[in-house]
Amino acid sequence: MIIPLLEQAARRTDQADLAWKTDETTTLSFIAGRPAFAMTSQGQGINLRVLVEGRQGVAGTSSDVPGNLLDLAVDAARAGDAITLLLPPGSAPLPSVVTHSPRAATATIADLGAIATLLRDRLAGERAEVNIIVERTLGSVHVANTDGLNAGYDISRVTVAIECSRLRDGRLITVPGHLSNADLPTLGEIEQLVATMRQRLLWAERDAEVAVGRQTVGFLPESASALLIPVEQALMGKATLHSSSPLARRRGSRTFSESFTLHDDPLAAGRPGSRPVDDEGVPSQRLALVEQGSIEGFIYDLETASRVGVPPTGHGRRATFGKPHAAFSNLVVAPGEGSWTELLVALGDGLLVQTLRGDGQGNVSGGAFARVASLAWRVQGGEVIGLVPEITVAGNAHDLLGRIVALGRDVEWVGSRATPTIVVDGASVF
Amino acid sequence: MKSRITDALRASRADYTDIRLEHTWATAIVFRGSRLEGASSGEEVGGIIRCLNRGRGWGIASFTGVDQLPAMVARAHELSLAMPVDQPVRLGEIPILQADHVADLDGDVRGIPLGDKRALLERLNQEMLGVDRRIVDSHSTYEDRVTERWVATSEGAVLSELRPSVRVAAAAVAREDSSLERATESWSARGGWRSVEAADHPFRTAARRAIALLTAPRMRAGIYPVILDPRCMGALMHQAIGHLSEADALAIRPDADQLMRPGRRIASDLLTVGDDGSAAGLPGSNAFDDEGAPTQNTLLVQHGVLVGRLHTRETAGRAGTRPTGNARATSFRHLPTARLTNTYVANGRGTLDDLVRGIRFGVYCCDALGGQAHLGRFSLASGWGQIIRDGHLAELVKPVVLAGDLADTLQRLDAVAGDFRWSHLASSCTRGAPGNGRLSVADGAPHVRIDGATVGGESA
Repeated sequence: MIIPLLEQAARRTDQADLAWKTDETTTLSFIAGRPAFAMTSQGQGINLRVLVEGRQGVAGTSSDVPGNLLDLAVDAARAGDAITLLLPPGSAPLPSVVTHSPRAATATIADLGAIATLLRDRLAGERAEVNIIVERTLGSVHVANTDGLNAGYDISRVTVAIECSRLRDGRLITVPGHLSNADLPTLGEIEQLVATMRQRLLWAERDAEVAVGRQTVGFLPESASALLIPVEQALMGKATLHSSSPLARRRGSRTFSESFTLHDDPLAAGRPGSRPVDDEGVPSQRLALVEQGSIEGFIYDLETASRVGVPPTGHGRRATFGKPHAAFSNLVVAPGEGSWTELLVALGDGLLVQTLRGDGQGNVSGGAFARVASLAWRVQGGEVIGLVPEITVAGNAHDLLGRIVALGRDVEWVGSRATPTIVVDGASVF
Repeated sequence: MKSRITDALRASRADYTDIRLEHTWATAIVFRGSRLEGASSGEEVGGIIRCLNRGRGWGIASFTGVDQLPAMVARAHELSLAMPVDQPVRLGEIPILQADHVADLDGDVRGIPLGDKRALLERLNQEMLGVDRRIVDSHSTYEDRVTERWVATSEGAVLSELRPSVRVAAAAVAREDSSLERATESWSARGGWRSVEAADHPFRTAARRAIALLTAPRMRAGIYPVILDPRCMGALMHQAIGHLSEADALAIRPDADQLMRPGRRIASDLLTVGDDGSAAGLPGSNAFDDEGAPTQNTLLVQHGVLVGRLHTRETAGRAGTRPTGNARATSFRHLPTARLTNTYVANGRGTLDDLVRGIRFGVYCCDALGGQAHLGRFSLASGWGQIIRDGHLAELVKPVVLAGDLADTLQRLDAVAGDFRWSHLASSCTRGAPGNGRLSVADGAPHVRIDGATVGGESA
């Protein structure tokens, strides 16, 4: 279907490329430990871009027949922006990466339900309401262009999201947990998740006073996004075009603590952002963003790379509708050497944060964040002493990543980010 | 389409089935600075089916296209059978309606060339950039949409709707030395190209405010008499009262459920708040919700006391009450959940001048950049502010952050003016079940006065 569309496009336009994606997601939801609903969701979409007389036009459809898609894209190009695009050729070899698991693909509803009931039963003694969502997505991605590219790959992804909630003294304490991989979770992974949930619930049985003011804060992998999101925004190539990236002029210079190394890794096996090729046809590669505290790389899609005058990095992402844009694949923070005990000692008299609410307020592009910690513990003398009331944690991510006092040696995947626990000095707690 | 839907419903073997189909045409154009960032259009068709069976939970199937409709009904039925439940799902009763609601397309946007839409936005964007040399950046967007929606149930409801919407939004960025300020304005209508051409788009207003904010001082932190303009008060009520009135969220939050228990006093006698999905021509208005229930005006707070909640059929059935027509979903990819429509504060008496008079020193908070509320606490950033000095509005101040305990703050509400207006007509609400996204909403209020509210900022 897509090749005839591109052949038509080649006759009417100067250049064209497209991404065609299909997906089928099966979701099982358990609320308060009981089955609530089972859902299947099927979708597909074609995103077509054409260049006509130096102007680009994009159109999308979720129909399985392209219909007037080419007409719409050509119309959009007539009103479109001027751009020069170097489409990737079809001859470049693609790297090998695991994006699909036959075992996940053939799992039945009963198989998925068994994961939820196992988790529920293993947590049955915790005096908590357990909500569980098990989701399996199967899909395919095809990218092609008028310069001969025609590539594709299959996807599977199994995600388990769990919340244990306990009402104590009028406060609802919710401990979240999750797993995500191309394959079904192993028994070992499920047991590890159960053990972590039990430990966090145990820590939440006692209350502790919170100390306000600047202090050492440990960001568990679930909350590390508060530190990473401002850095991610500043490492978007487009932010350098609009002078909105505080890191734009710091390439090659030491900006963060030496222990901080950050890569974008589309070749990590079986993770949510894993892929052999991006949505514009650029072969995937591991990209160093921050190496031992020094800024090394920014991400670009074809258009931004062309405007800045640099090679594309293979970070084009396309939805059915709208222009391709740059997006990270899997973000991986290199682990440190700290054992769990060493991390708690490094925390001194500080705060250990698991859940931050909201998207944050403040000047995000400058690095500032202020988020309400809805699940956090006071640490004293190398021990977790109890749950603190809801409190705001604030700071500047760029500054705090320059004051890392410890990094955990265990990396945990949260969606498409893999991070260890990050302990920083001098965050504001109020 | 109607016969395809009714045929599929007749073929369903489930005890209860509902079908929702959507066909959407949309255009989006974005300028950043003087550069066109993108101009695109698209068309999408899809649907979602829900089935229920005795002793079983929901089985749901969503899909793109409509050819798969009969197969998807069978799939939803199978999924329901795979979900045994010990507590049956009970649906609140709704009137069984059959109606077609076709809005005036008002100069159908689908017939207007993309180039004309781009030219209009480019002109407005250039006007904004040209207001002053200190306007260094802009973000301007034009969006239009025509949606055809069908909702039908195995109980006999068959409803359809065809409606247009347009939205134009401006953000101006001003810079002088190291000072950077951003101001936004937007406009939207349940209409088409004729409305777009006739409107007075406030792009220059955004630019002028961004310039004025460059030299505006910050309000010092403290407790002050505060007047909220309709946009600021509307946003606060949406966040702090509205979201805590959504019954499905309360069902899984026993602490919030207790906080919002009916009969609890949450504000002074002067405050009455409601949600009205049946109000004419507003972004959150619909004749029927995404379960086929008619929309209505639901009181949430009456004279300061909590009196109502917003329900889907399932939450109403569980509570033994009637659905309120608030079951809304972002698209056919999502389940309907209890969501706000048009949230309002009822009118009082008098004018802004009446409220300002008598305040020796205070602050007038205008518009809202954003806010959040959790249980009884809230924070809200206004778009800008004005000092009130000796009974008069005085100089502009940078955005003011209000925070505190909601009930304590609202108990000190001591005046509600009679100048109600709807606002935030171009905004959207992102609360919802995981994955459920933006919905068109509106909020409305008159000016209100609080005789002492906590203002954050630089220390006094």
